[in-house]
Amino acid sequence: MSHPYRDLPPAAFWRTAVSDINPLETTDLWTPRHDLKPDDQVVTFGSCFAQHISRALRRHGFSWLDCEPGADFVSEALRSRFNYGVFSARTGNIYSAKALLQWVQWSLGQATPPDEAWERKGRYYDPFRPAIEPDGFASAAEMLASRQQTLDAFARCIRESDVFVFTLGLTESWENIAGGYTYATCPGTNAGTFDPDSHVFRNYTCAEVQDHLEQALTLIRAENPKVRILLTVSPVPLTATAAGKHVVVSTTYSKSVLRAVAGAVSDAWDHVDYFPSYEIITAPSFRGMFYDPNMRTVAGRGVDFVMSHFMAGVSGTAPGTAPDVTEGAAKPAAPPPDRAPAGALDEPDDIKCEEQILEAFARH
Amino acid sequence: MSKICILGNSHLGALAQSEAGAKAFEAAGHDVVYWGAAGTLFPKITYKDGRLISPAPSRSRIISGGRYGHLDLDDFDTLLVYGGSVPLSNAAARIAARMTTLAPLSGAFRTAALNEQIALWWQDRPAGALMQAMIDAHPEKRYIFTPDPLMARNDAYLARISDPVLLRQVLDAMYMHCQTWCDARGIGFYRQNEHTLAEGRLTTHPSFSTNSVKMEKGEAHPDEDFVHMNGSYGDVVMADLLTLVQSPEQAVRAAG
Repeated sequence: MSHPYRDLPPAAFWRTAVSDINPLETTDLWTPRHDLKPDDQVVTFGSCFAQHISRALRRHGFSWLDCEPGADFVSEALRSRFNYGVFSARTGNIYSAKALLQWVQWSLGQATPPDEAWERKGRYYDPFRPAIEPDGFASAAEMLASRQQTLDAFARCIRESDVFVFTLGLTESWENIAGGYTYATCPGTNAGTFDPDSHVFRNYTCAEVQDHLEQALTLIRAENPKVRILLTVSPVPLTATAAGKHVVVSTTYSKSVLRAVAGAVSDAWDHVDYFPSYEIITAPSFRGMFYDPNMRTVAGRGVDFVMSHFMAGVSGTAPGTAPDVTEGAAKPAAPPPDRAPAGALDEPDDIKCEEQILEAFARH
Repeated sequence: MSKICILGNSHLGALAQSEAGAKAFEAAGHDVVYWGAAGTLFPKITYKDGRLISPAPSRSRIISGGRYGHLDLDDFDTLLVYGGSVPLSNAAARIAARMTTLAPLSGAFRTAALNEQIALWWQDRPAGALMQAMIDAHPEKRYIFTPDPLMARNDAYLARISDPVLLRQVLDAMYMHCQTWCDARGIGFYRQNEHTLAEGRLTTHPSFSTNSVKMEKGEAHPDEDFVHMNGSYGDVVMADLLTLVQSPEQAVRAAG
């Protein structure tokens, strides 16, 4: 008797795909919907985990587009300290779909960004990328000028990219009540002052996240009809929750919503794909082995494992055997001798994460 | 009588031309010896077993009036590194040109980038490593350092400068870097006398460059040489250095 399960591949069955194999030998986790060619211009944005994707792409010789490089003659360490080269524009982490929508609208002139500036000890911080300057800006005007540079660079990313990679990170957010815009972090944490009459906690629903994401992607595609979208969900649990629940419960809610939205959008939109970095780290078959002892941050071996599957999917090979696509193609220019090699900054500890400041507020 | 070695490169020629300077040092009880190696030879001077080893001992002997091929440090109380292949003008122009590309970026980033550029530049200066080797081996001696004089004002150099204010900032930052490096090691630092600078403080006044002579041969540098200074410049520097050598606070350096 014929039925739909008869001819399914081994990857479709838990026993053959999971139970009967060493988890580190798991294969076929991702088959890209679209080819990724070495000369495709790829941009990356999103939560902390997105930084691993940009690094892996660069390391494997893909054309990662950096629209706000800062300066080509300073060291990688200095560029990194000032958050150049972390994402394709100097946005800092974009944790929520609503924040992505804001960046898209502001950069394309669809909305005007607020001129709000956070002050601390005479230095000025951008509420939408509060950790972008290690010691803040000298003035609000300098901060706003810098943000405009980033908005211009972000618009270039939209217009010139072939692949737009976005990693969804959080559903929890703090918004300005009057302006209706979301911040990158809670006012008063990195900088600024928390005001319960001006700031409100939001934990976006599935419908809201999907609406924000679809609005953002619609605008991106309207500006650049050829761009493909690659969504991922960060496997990194919340540092802290303001939802009044246990952080494990809030993490499950947040990641479930983001994963569901990423799946729904990628299933419904032909030009959108989903890469399962979230599953590769969190699936029960991996037994939490890729987390650091704090069970939150992803260890370097976990990142390597995720990215080996990414590269395997892109190249159509087994994980860990992806060829360097630069072979036979133009290699990226060697860094000047006075700059640190790219690999020197590839330690997981170098990942920039504004949200992590919340850890400092734990009472114990 | 204290013994002072002024060691350096071709810039020693200006000091050696200063008769007034030589007399003043002698009158103050200091026996001055010049020693070094010109041009590309200076960076090849090394330290070994209490001596500075010259890459061209015969030429170093000429510079020192026949006294030293290699230099025995034990013969001196004070070692004054003059110039030492630390030319500021071209390096500052190069760094300033790079810095102009950062104009739209934040002040903090520009400052960090400038400091990094200067640190990288200094890291490649052989004089730093040479002084460090001498101090490590002979912490009991006095050390004084001064970079090369700024290039004399000339059109070709000024044509490279798009932002004189920025160049001045870069020069100041380079001097400050050298000063800080020296302070950390108890080395006296001498910055070029303001009175020798041309208007704008970017270059040396051209009157201090005309009729400069070569250290070894005593013959004149070509007219289009804007790098080397003359005896008038040597007079100014020697007077300043004598003040510095005799300054008690400059003598204080914790051994080791």
